[in-house]
Amino acid sequence: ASAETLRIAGNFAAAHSSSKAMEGFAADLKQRTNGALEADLFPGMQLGSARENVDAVRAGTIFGTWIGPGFLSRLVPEIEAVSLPFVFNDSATAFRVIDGPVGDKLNEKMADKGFLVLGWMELGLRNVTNSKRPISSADDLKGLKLRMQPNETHLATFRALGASPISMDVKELYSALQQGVVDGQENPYSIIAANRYFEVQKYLSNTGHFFDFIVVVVNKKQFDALSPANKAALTAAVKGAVTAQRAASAGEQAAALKELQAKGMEYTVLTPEALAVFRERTSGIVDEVKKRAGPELVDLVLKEAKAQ
Amino acid sequence: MPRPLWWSNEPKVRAVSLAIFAAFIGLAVLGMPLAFALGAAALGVLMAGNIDLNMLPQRMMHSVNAFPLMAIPFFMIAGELMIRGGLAERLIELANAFVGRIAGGLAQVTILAGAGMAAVSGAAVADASALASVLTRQLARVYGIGFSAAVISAAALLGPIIPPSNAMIVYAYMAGSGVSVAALFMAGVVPGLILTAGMMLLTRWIAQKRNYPLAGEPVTLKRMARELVRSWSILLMPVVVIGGIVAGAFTATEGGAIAVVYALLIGLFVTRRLKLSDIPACLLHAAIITAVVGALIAFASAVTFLLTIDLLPIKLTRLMRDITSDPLMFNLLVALILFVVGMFLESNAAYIMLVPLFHPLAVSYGLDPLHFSFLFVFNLVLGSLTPPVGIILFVVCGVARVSMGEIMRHLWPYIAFGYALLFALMLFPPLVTALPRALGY
Amino acid sequence: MSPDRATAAAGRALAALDRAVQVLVIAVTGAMVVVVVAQVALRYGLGQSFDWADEISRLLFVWVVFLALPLGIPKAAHVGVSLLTDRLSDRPRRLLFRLTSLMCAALLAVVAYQGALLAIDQWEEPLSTLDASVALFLVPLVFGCAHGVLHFLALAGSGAYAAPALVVE
Ligand code: NA
Ligand code: NA
Repeated sequence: ASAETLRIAGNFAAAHSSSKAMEGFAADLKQRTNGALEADLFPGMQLGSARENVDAVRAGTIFGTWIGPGFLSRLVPEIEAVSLPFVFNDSATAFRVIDGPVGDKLNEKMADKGFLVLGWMELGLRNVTNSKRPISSADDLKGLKLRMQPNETHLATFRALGASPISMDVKELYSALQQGVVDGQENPYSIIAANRYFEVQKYLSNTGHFFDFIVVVVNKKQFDALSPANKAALTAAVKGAVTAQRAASAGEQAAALKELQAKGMEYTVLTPEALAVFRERTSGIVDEVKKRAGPELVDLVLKEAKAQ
Repeated sequence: MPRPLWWSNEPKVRAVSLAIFAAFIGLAVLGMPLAFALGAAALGVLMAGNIDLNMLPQRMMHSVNAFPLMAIPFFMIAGELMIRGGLAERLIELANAFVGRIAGGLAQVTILAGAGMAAVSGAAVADASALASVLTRQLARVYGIGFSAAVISAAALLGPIIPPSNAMIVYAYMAGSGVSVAALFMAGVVPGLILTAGMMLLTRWIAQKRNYPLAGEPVTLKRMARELVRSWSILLMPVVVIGGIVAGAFTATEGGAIAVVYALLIGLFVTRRLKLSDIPACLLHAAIITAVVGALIAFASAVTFLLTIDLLPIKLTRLMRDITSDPLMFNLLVALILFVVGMFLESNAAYIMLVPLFHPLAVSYGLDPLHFSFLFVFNLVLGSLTPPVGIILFVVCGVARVSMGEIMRHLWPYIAFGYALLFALMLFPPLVTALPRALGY
Repeated sequence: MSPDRATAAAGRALAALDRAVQVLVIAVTGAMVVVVVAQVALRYGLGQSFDWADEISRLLFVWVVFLALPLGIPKAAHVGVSLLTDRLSDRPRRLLFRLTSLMCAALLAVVAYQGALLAIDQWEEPLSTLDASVALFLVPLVFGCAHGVLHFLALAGSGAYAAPALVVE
């Protein structure tokens, strides 16, 4: 009997915890279905950029992708509700919210657009690096040319903090940092380490301004066409991978931070008072996000994040 | 002992990739332009494999939806503006003041002017047609048409080696984020200078052996100084554009746009040979050439997508590993493949199809990506001088009205020197990588 | 109208379309230079950046590539191999040329049609930094490929063989 093969692509490097977890998923899936259902994985942008992966899943060219949810926010603007600045202090809070009613709402909205969400992994808290000066207060960001993802919430947040956000292709970022075309960038520790930005950046602060998930999404129509047994095996295998990745991610972030310091980056820890200023200056962003993501969902996220 | 690929027990793997290659080669031989032959091969496999056809437009659009690729039309426009602005003539007068009296004087002038052209333009073909149309008659009067055409061809070779270089932009893009265009530009500087000096020495040796008469005017300090002053604004262009890219004032793509403005200002206000009415034609020409490259990239990336989901890159890696585990052997093997490819294939098509397969392999062999990238580019650039399909040869044959056989009778020592240099660069990586590393890449 | 006159009229219409597209391509190419230079100037002049500079540059580039694609077809600017066609006599060569032109037309027709479906599907989706549809990236692909179909059909009809370009340029 010929096995069915699902093609799943991602833009994270093969060594990233999410890609490793997906490898575990593929092995688990094969075992659970006795080889009747297999997954071919294509990490590291082998099948195109993140933007393209989204289009490909939507059109059904590939079955699924594991990806930063920001790349889905053009289709499902509600996703922006979980990318508010300074909304989650740690990953435990973030997962509590996404595994609760907020996640259910988002999954519904995604399903309307043809995407089935199978799980939420962790990319991590994003932190600012730069080549100019240590960032120990919001004022230190003034005038810094920071490369940002082309995302309205991100851009508005850093404009509110007084930085000059610059949009730039990620392919040009390393050399742009090296040459000083831009002063800095922001990413989770693991990505800063994996992309070797420490070679061209001196200062690192734990700004933790956004928490990024990685969402595992598949084409809903193709999922629905699977046999009930295969559906169950697939769902269970992803669930296992998500659990494993969340556990691995914490260690990965800590190891990456240690590596960045060992490679000579100067690490600045922000005081709670300093962080309070960041929060205060970006408090207006909530209203902007409410316009796009809807006030109910944003309020729900804020309520859930505070609840203990 | 692992089994080689063609015994693989996954027949679907071979079938898809082989079908694509067979369809592509068949259609190309029938005379279908390469870009469309690639597209048709992909379409056939999509239909046979029952994969949704909307993958084609999706892949095509996304593959050219890339900021770094914009450098191609920019450097093309800049080169075209420079040539229409009388840049070639200026550079020839300048070179004449310096090397006009060396044995093989006017031929030396051609090579030096070629190096100057290379430092402001991104493509060999533009350089070849500019040099050939300006210099052929003067050169032929002294050396005969065969040697003249050979020297022009050799000089044009410098175009994609000395930065800026469209070939390097395409390579870096196809290789993904692992290769920086600016670093690759810098990698070309030392080999470009060695190539220039080597070809000048070779020319001198040939000229002495054949007793070619001295043709240039007397070299005087005064004349050198006068020509330098007259050409300073052109000489400053690589300093501003390439220097600006390396020093971090702007990215490679932005550097291309700056080069356009620079070339425009020189042509309009310094040489005053450029007319405002020339500009639309320059833009249109650059756009059409960009579309030709863009169509290749777009259709080829549909093919690459299919080969990737067919797991060909993984299979190819295993096959290569079965053949050799030695990086140098791998390098030689790639050089041999590219030598053959360079004889028959237009180089952009070759980058687009082969870089996604070979670059990750080179990395897996532990080769320095920058070193490998440069050797790859250099090898295919040399291919533009080898028959039967050699782009520089075609241009020079056309402009100088000379047969390919006649050029080849005089050109082969230059080609031999080129390949000798390729092997030297393969064995001594610092010649390629030392400069970019010293600049912090 | 006689067939000859119909052909002539179609030829004139295609030439007019070419001229209009040429003007558009020149404008878009020029705009691309302007946007990128302005971006550099703004960064140094005011230490600022347009959010939309990266996206609009890419958009303009995609427009240049696909709008200019058909313009190279009648000039035989797209690179190819003439190994076989060089060796054929005139009649079989024209026949083969008509055949490959028809195949190219069919390919581009499929791409244009599929691209149009995709564009309609994505019409509601906005760009990241501009208040416009993301389908704007697909519009030139659809338009350029459809324009290319016309050129290949014209070549298939006339059988006016020209060897494909052997080089880019
Ligand atoms: Na050059
Ligand atoms: Na060749």
